[in-house]
Amino acid sequence: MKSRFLKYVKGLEPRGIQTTIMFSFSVISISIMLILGIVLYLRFSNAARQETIQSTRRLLEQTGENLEEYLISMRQISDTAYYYLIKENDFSTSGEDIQSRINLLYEANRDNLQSIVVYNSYGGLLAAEPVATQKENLNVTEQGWFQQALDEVENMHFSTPHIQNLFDDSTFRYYWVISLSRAVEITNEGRSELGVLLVDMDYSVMSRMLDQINTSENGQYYYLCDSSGEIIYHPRRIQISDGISSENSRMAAGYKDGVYDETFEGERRKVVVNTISYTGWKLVGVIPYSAFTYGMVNMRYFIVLLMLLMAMMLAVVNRIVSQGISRPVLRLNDSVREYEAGEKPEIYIGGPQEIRHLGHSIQKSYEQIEDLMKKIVLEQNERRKSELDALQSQINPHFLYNTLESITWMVEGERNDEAVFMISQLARLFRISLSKGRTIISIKDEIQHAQSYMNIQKVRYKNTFSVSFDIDPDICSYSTVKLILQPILENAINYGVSGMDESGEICVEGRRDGDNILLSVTDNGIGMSEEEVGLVLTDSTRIHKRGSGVGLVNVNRRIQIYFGNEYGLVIESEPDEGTRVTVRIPAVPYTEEGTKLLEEGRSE
Amino acid sequence: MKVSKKSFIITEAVLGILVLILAVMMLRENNGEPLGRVSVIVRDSDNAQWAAFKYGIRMAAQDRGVEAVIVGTESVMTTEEERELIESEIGKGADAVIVQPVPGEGVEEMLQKVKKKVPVMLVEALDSGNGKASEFPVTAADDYAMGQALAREVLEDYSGNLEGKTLGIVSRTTDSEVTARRTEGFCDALEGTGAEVSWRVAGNFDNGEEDYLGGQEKVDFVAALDDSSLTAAGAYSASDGLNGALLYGIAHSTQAAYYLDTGSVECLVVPDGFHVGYQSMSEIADGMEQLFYKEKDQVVSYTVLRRETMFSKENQELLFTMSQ
Repeated sequence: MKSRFLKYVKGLEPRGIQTTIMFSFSVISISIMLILGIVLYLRFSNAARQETIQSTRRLLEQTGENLEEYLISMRQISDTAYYYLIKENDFSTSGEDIQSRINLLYEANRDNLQSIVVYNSYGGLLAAEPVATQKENLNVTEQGWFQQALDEVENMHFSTPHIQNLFDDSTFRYYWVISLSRAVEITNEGRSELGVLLVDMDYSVMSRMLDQINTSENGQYYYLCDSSGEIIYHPRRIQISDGISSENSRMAAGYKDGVYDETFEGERRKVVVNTISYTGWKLVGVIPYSAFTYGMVNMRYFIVLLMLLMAMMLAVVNRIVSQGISRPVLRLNDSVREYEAGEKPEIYIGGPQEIRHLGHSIQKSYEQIEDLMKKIVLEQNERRKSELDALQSQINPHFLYNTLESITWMVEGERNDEAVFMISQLARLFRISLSKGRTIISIKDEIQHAQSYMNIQKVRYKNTFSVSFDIDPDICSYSTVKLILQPILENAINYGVSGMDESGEICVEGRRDGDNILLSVTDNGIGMSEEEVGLVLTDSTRIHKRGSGVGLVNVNRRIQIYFGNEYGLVIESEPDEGTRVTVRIPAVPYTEEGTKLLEEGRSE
Repeated sequence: MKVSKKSFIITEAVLGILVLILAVMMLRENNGEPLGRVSVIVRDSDNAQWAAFKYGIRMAAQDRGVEAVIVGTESVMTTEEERELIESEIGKGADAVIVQPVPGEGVEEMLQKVKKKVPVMLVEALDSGNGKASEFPVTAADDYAMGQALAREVLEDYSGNLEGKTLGIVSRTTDSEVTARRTEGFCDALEGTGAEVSWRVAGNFDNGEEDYLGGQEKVDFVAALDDSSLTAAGAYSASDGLNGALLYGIAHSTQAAYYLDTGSVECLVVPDGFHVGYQSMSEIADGMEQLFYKEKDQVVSYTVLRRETMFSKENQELLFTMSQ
């Protein structure tokens, strides 16, 4: 599972530099944008939530004040009716006057009132406005407002909304009222007795007042209940009484003024409570949590829209920036690829300083590599050529023919010992020349080869020159490229001592010089001018008039190929004095491993 | 095309599509349009008998975010007039209609055609003519049960003994399914009790009760099976025109309640008009909200009102809806 996930993540890894840059930029910028967006949204929604609660509180307070004013005005009507009309007059003598003054009071407040009625303690109607026929068989003493008034005579009582069941006005209508009732002291025929003053408030006035604040479409609403939780007004009053809906009014009735969190029927909501003075009624504002986000749905859309637009813009900007950064790198990469594919040898050099420098470096490296490659190819060619030349020297047919002819003469002249000597020298010469196909041999074998060669040549040249070998025995166990002395000796014979009558001397010396080994061939021949000395190792086009044709140039090159350019031949010559050719090679012990390394061209 | 370029174009395209979708959603939110428009077509829609029903319609429309339009109508309407009204409302953009079907032939066919265009909800049972229930959803009280309940109240008043008692039956029409079901329920419940139906009267009583009830034979009690007939009979009874016959009925207006309150009517069976309006609108709203929703019949309750109990707390709520 984990490995699959890792594989998936790896699969998502951007591959190109542009993709990497763009991906990184996008992730960073989108993350910042998201964080900013969320933080801003949270701050905004929190502020909006607080504002909603505060505005609800303000609205509740304002509406509460309006309600209180309305209720106070009702109480004032009740007070006026009682203290200025009822208490001051005798119903038996001033009934009509009381009625007319109640009428005035009613007319002045008829927009808010349904009726003003005075009953005696037995439920007998004493006065009523507007004047109407009381229903037959009506017993008001059984009605709640009447009983409340007489139960607590010192207080005024506000009922919950109910249908006024008092008069028959033949309009087929039933009025929904809130009754303000109080016990009053009435005077009838000089006797003081208890009665009930009823002021029926028009419920629709209060209903309209609260309807005006219940206009929110976000689910927020306000309702009014009494101190026991009995609903007085609710925008869904009938639905609640019919069981279609419900309200947590019993709980709200127990709250003091303030803001509360509650969960009702699975819905979280804020409840703001404001108590109406005197009545103890609770004006309650309910803000479901969904209301906080109601107005913000568009805000959410807007923020998301803004973020999407920013993401689109960022994608464009990121692409431009990433392209700007990566283009020189990509172009450099493309030119390197093209170079690698062999298409174009030019490396891109452009863009910022670092990329420019990189381009220059790569260009230079490639040029160096190209030079080196050319050099290696050249060396390889030269090596092959020199090997071919060396091989040619091994089996120089002219030399072989002369030697064999000398042997033939010896046999014919019955100089058998000399013939045997020649044959044995020739055999040794060829054995060392072949050396099992190896190029690196020991100095001992090289000296042996040179001795065999000189012995043969001495016979051929009838001992017209003498040869001496002065070799330090210590150097015999070191390595050398084979057949380097033979061409030098050949040159010494052909160009140095061949024309001299038995006075020619060739001396072969070998010694160690620090980490080097020096092998020198010195003759006392005709020598060379300085100019000629200069050409010996540089002019490879010179035609060899005599000898095997393997010149000193070839020897010098072979030494340098195997041991390095610091090694090779040194020629010293004076006309009529003689010539000394010195071979300088490193002191590499002749071992199996060392030989192998040198054969492969690795001298170190 | 390079992979990075392709990815870039795809990313931009996806983001662009999302922006478009969001923009459309924002515009739709901004419009704040209601769920739909529902036209309500009932006979004599301004009559007080529809007060509770219209209040229920308004409340449900408010709760469900639907625009409700109560179409003004006359007390008498033919099938053709009803069809024209419905067509006119659909033409004005009604997404559904709540209809009280007029009695008579051809209504079902007319409503079938309407149903092909917009959802239809009936607030009165439709006479399919073949004895089978119509395929239209109906929100109404159980007429048969109300007829039976009315008969039970009569029986209760006569202590279960109606032997030798005579009665008259008053209704607005004789050909409506509602009247038929109520009559059936009422008569079934009185069957075997000895009560005898002396007469039956049907009419719209627009020209006065006297014309219809004045010449009828004296009976012990009269059963009015709908609001119009009960209010007419109630008015006649108030003037003692029923010759002392007790009046019982099925009605749902404040006028009917008034006659009960004043003693002109002995007992009322009141179908819950508020619930008829509320449930019918809710059911239609459900249909508008859910694509494959099929509106179902809704049976609402009824209340038996007596003079003594009509101002109880529960019944006051009923009167409140009737007074709206």
